[in-house]
Amino acid sequence: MWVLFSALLSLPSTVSAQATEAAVKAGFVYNFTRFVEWPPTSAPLMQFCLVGSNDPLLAAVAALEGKQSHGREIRVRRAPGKADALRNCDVIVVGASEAGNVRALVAEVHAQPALTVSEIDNFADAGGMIGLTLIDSRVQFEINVGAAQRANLELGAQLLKLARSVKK
Amino acid sequence: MTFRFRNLPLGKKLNAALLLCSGIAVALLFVFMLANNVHRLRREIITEITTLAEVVATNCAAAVVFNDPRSAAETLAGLRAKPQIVQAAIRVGNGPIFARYSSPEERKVSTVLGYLERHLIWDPMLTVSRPITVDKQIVGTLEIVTDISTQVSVLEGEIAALLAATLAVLLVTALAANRFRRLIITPIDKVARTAQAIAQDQDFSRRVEWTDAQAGDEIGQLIDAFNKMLWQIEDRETRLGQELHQRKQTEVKLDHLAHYDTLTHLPNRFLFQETLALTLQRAGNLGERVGLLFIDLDHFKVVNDSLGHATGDVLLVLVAERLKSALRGSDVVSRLGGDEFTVIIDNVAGHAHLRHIADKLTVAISQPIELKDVTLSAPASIGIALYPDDASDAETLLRNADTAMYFAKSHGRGNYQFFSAEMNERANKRLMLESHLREAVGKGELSVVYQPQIDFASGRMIGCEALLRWSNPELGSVSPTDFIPIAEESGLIHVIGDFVLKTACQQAKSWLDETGVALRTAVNISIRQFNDQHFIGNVQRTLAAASIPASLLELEITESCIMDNIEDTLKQVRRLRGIGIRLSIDDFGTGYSSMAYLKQLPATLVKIDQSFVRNLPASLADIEIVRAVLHLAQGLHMETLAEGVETAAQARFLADEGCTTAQGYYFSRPVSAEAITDLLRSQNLFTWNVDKHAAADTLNLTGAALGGFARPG
Repeated sequence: MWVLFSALLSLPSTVSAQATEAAVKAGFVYNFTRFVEWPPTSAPLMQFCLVGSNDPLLAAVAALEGKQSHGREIRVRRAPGKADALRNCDVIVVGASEAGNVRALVAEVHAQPALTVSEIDNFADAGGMIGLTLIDSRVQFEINVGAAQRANLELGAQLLKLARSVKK
Repeated sequence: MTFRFRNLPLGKKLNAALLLCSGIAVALLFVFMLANNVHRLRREIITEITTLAEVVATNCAAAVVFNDPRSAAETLAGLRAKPQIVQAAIRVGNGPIFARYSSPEERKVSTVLGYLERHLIWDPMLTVSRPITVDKQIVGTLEIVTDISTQVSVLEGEIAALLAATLAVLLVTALAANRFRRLIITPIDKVARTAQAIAQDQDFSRRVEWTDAQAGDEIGQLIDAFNKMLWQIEDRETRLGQELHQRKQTEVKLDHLAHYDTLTHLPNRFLFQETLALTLQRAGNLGERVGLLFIDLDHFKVVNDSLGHATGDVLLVLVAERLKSALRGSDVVSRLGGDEFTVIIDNVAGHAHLRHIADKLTVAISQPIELKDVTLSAPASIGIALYPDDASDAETLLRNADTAMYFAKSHGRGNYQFFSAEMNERANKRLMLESHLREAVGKGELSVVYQPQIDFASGRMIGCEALLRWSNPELGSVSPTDFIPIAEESGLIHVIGDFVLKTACQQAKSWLDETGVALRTAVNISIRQFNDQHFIGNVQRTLAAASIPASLLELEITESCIMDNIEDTLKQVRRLRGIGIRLSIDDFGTGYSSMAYLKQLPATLVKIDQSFVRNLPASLADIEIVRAVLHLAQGLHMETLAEGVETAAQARFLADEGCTTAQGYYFSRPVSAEAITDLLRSQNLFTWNVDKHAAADTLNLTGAALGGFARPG
């Protein structure tokens, strides 16, 4: 898998490269959940909510359906960018189509223990928790610790260490 | 010189063995402890590195899943803090290394130990592998390679301590070995030294001195057993020594017994013969003369018989002492046996010399001897022979001295005689007589004649004395005074005496049968016959064989014979008288009778010796003697008979003095049995008391029948 992974990473940016990049990012999203501590819950499922119109990342994240994290089974569903719709979400992946609505969306889920992830540029600066980015053909991420703390989420130290930048 | 372990002293062997054993033990302990410490250390390192790896793996997990090798490498770089970690690597699946770390330090082989462990003992590279997990999922593997050799070098201090401990143990072992030496080797060494000392000086009284011997262990038992063995050997040695000593003493004693007389401690016959032979040989070579004195005590038998053998022995010892003290030390006094002594006088000048010695000895011996209750005088008769004058060899010299002694005895005892050739002739004559006499009985050369005994009162023959005659074709007629002593000494007297007794008894029977007259016959009995224990039985058998009453037999014993052994003789006489046999005392007056004994002697007749009769009636002394004897006999109620009456005057005198009977040529010479028979058949009357002038003729006429009687005896 690693061989494939690496091989894919080293591939030049082509049509299929877009799909590959989305898959890597989806993997990142999955891995983020394993380094984040949610407030104690008895919920057996981990709710992934996809906000925005369909794009390669959301499609790739949707493929995480059924995987396990923290012993909880991942469930992926589409959700509108409204507080009510997002109340039970543990992870909210914001699609590229919502680039203009980031602040509002973040405000909707304010104080809700939901990890917000997006590949929209400066997502962390805009109040999101983890923003994915592609630099030198490598997927990297930026972290907004303050946002996470406000949401009562604890981001692992390793995660912070790997982050390209950490915003307080 | 090659070294050999087995030649080493036991102590060194033991020390070596102890050191070797303890060395091996300590070395094993050392290796075990080292291995144990290394193992422990290794486990500690593994635990430490594993823990470290856990941490690193956890810290790298995010970098792995987020594909950030640089970050992972950075994390790994933190291992720099542990210099023993050589390298670390993270692998994802089976792919190439995701991230790695290599120690910047140059690894160096710092110690010999490190070298050893690297190349010989174990692989110093320890690889710890931990999975990298994220949310319980393995996402990669972390491998950390550690060089534990540097860690192990920490043990060097411990090793040094162990080595020190080893040295200490060896030192203690050496000290203990010394202690063992005292406990084990020293006693064994003592046993060995004692055994060597004993082997050297044969002194079995040595013992192994070891106070711990009572300890009861094997060494104690060994020493105890060794000492016991020594005790037994010593005991055996002692007993052997004693036995040898006793045996030697016994040999000396036996030698003494073989060569010396036990009573007087003088040399015995055996040693005497040896000494004499040697002395003669030496004298022969030097041309010297040797005198030999043969000494025989007079009357020793009387002393022995009357005072007992113990007294006789005392007498012999005294005589031996006197002989020795009277002689020079070089003169050899020996006891041949009984009362016979000899003296060898070396280097004799001549007869005068020997005469001087003989005089001295005679005086010395004849000194009175004071015993408990009696005083004895034991004179000796000495015969002297001289070498080479009288004999050329020891045997002849002794025989000649003996012969000379015999002559001294016959010369009235208590004197000495030098040997002469004439003595030998006489001695030879004796021998010759003896050999003839021995055959005389068998050849019928002996005969008996009878001399009538006349009763003065009746003038009749009331008895006769049987007298022995010996007529030899070569020697002619031999006088009884010549051959009777020979018969007595040679023992022939028994045969001859029996012959006379038997003949006389048978003759008395013949007379009784032929003439009806019971004629009493007197037979002379030698003292040797008389003292024979079978004598009385013999007489009884003879009487029975002849069928004559005992009263017809009269036995004559000389006065001196009676007095030689008075006690036994008295008993014997009483027995004979009890049977009814008459007994007369012959030659009365010639010996010295004890009146006390005479009184007890139940003799029937006293015969007055012819020596007193011969000079009657001229000799006043003889008259007195005869009167005394007659008086004595009357007092003791004994009959009297005068012997050797040759003249009428004698007969008349004796009859006048009260003598009852007589015999002698005046009446009749001894005659043959037939003549007596004729006399008995005729009137048997001797008309003796006739006129003294015509006496002889008258007598012969009256006794006409006796005219042709035997030759004078």
